[in-house]
Amino acid sequence: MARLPFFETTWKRKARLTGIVLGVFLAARLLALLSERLIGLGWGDLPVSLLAIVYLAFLYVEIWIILERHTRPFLSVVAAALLAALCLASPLIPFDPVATGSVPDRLRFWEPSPGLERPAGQKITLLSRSFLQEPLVEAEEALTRAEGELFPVVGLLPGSAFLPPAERTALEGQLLALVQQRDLPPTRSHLWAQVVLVQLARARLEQTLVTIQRRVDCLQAGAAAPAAPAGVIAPAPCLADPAWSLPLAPSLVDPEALQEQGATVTFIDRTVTGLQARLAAATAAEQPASGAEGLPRFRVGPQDDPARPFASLLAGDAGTNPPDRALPPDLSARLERHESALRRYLRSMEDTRTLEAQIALIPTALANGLAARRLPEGEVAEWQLQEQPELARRFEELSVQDLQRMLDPRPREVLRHTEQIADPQQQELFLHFLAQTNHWHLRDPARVKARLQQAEDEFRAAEVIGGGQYPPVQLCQMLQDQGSDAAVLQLASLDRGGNRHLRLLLVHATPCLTVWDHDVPIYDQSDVLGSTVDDAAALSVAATEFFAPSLLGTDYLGKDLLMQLVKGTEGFFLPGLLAVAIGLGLGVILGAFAGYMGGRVDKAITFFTTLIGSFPRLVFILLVCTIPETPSMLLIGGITGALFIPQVAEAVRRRVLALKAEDFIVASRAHGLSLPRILFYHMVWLQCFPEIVRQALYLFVYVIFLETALSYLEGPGAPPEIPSWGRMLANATAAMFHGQYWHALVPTAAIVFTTIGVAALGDVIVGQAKEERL
Amino acid sequence: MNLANPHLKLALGVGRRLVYYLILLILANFLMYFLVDLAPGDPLASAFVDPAEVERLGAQLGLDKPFLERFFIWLGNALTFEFGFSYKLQLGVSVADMVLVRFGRTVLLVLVSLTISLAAALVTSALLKPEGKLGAGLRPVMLVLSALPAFLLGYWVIQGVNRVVLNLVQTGFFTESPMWYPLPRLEGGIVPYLFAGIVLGLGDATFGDLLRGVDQDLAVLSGRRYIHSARARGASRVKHGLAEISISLVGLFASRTTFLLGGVVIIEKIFNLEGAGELLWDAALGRDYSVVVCISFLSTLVVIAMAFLADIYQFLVDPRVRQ
Repeated sequence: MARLPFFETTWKRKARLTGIVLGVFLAARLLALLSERLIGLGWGDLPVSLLAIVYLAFLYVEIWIILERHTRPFLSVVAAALLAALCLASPLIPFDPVATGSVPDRLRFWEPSPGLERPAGQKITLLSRSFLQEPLVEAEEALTRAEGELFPVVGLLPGSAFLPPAERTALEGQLLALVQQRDLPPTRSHLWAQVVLVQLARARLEQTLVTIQRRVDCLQAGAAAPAAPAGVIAPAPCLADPAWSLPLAPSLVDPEALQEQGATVTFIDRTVTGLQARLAAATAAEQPASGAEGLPRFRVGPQDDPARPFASLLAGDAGTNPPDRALPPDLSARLERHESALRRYLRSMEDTRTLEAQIALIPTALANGLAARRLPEGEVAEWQLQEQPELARRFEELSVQDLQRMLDPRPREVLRHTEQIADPQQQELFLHFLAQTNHWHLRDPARVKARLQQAEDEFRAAEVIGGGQYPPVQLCQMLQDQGSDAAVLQLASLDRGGNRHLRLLLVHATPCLTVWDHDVPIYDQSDVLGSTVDDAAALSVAATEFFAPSLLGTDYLGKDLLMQLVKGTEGFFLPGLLAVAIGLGLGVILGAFAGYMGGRVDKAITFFTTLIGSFPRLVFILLVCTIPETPSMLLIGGITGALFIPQVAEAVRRRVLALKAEDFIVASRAHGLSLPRILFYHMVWLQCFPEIVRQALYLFVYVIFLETALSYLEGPGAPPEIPSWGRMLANATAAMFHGQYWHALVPTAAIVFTTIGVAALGDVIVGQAKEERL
Repeated sequence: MNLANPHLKLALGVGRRLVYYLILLILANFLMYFLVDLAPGDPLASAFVDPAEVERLGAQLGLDKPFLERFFIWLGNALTFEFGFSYKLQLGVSVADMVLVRFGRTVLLVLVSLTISLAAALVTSALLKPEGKLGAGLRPVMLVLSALPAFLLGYWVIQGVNRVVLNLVQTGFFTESPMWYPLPRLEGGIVPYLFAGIVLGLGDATFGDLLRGVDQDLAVLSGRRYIHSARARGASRVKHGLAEISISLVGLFASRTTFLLGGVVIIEKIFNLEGAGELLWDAALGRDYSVVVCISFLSTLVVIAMAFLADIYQFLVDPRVRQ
């Protein structure tokens, strides 16, 4: 019997080995404890930690065997040390944005902000002293305030709750009135509500642009900045205007006709067009409101002419601004930065996907009683409503508030908890901290509770510093005013969730980013990846450099790579085990019987295995993946195991066939041993063990191949909110656009080590068994 | 009838093999068809609201027939390369039009990559002995590279070429000038195909397995007495051992086709090659069953045909099997 080398050594070595294993176990435990302090992987993640420990122990045994048995242990150690050093050193590699000269024009979709470019040979000072000591501090503050007014715009959109409750209620009341005023069939009212929401958001954006420009002009002229509107922000002028009532109604029916009439229709974008198509289908029987009188009186939006910068648009607006006045260079640079942010915002609004998917989500959410995040395409909503009259009736009873609540992608429990906080500022702060916790924890109610507790603790910690009255932005500005790194370090020491949060606070602290980290739909990783600002990335990297917060550094969103690495093992561990169980279980039994029985049994089993073996694996897996609603990785693992049956069965069969005529088998038969005992103990267990282990390991490695490849390509079985090594690699590709090419090292090293290690372990076991037999 | 006639024996043997593989093909596709039949959703019901219309169209298309009858109708159509129409990816386009050219391209890629890999394994096995210095140095490197997932190798190749050679930052593979077009509509030129072929033949343990197999076969072969005696007489070992080794090489080739036809899905996706694998990926994610089934059918067909050809080859070359 082939045994693990452990059983063949002397007692002394055994004791040493056991000591090492225990040491590794304790070290892993300690690591888990430390990880709670360092990376926020707390006891709530005990299953994950245990899995990781089992996995680490497995790797340990494997590495030990390789080192002991491999012909070139020295080389392996050197290679391992080299890669490990690379991984550990990755956060220390200096930040170097993409050299823009080498990026072709079609790829240059982001521009590094001038304020964030790193002075040559100098470390970025955190808290951005450069921002503080510039002469334009006041202008910046004004801009910050103006940008603060962009929050409501964002708040109107589904998925964001940063609007002060009083104002939200007021606006929603107006919205509801508008919707009711149209006297629409109730099934379509949510579409209208969406249209109005989008339009309102656009109107507010317009208004804010004007406000910003006014402030800028005032500052330029040396006058005092007008006071920011206190309390509830005045509603957009379009809402006060009676002629405005749903201005887009005609354009929804025929936008081209409107353009022919020379109307300056703005903001007809893909969002509205997408909604418009649905509305047009719904209003087919109804006569559209006609006439161009009720048309919108928006000016041409900035995104209509991408070549024209905002600054010139605003400077040239004769109605509100003194004409022909050149902005000071610094200020125009700020405006340009502003512009890129605004443009990005507009571009993100053009993305119909979120809105439409969320609209499609409503009936399902009703039916299930919860807002599931992932839906297939948005085509099922109408159909389901027609099919289910009860659902349709309940759907029509919904108010806009209900709709908005349903459209909010956060889990119910979080929302309920949020509503319990009375003070809006505290609520905002709470949400802010909540946003920074790792969102994949929010799927499980128990974890939600734990995370809420943690978020609350963090909230208290921040409260200690801020005295409970400052939202994060002001808090950071206060720190900036004090200008001491010591204060930041103090904050870091209080922040027990890890420096990640501090980093995000710092991102928050940069005035020009205020809009952006609120705009990002934090609960959806893919959206985060799609719309994050490079500035935020740059800052987070700068912070990473400064604090060296975790062993492997963070990705460009500030998320800990080590934690993702550990968490990523979950993706293939259980599916791999399942595959091994299925493939080995059936394969060994079938192969053993085929080899032992021979004749017809052999032929039948061989035919069966050939049948299974005639499917190309991935083709068959993809075929099966089309069948269930959401194919899980476990299913894929199971199928993979089934597809490996032929290989295992053939290996076992060949061995059993060769053994059948051996003397000791004949002898045991003569002794009257039972068939299962001869077959499965004397033949399979004692003789085929190394081969079976090799097959099992290869199967496991294949599942790792599959999982990483599928999650790298966002394929079936890889839900986007769960970290996985393949997705880390994909994210590293995204980070490469930000110039952070070293991110790819961590997942690569993980995949390389694991696959090679496991494969080598199989070879070593087989080789050792051969040596024994000789 | 003279059963001793070698030609008749040959024909009988080939015929039996053919029947065996035909049954295999039919059963495999039956399993596949059964699985897809389990899948939820009805394309007709999603396209037409009126249930009467759905029923009428279903009857017109033969959907009301029993399962077995439908299967044999489908199989008959499939064997004449008639696969119906796509109803998700390209609505109403004939699946055969969509798939066949792409599938040819994919099979070409697989065969070329497998040939390269096998040739490399043969050369390595014959020339780079593990005892020798060069072999001891090179073999572990090759085996380690081969133990990596093909998609990771592809990722390295793409990023490496993009960053180092072309000095670009991008996700896909990019060549400045199209160079040579082995099949129509190969837009990116031959370079991505070449890289993809090498990566496919190396990664996912393909090369390692082939090398191990060839090593074993060569060891067995060099232990044979007739090889020893040929060598003692000064005759060419290659000439005398070729027949025996070629059988196992063909067997290896045929058995690896299955793996590569699966792996090519991911490789094509990564290299953005317009092949059947990429199409299968899109079709599976978009639930375009007719396309999925068509590609699965063709893949199974290729795999079984390869196995059949390998069997026939063995039958022709090995006199022991013929007996």
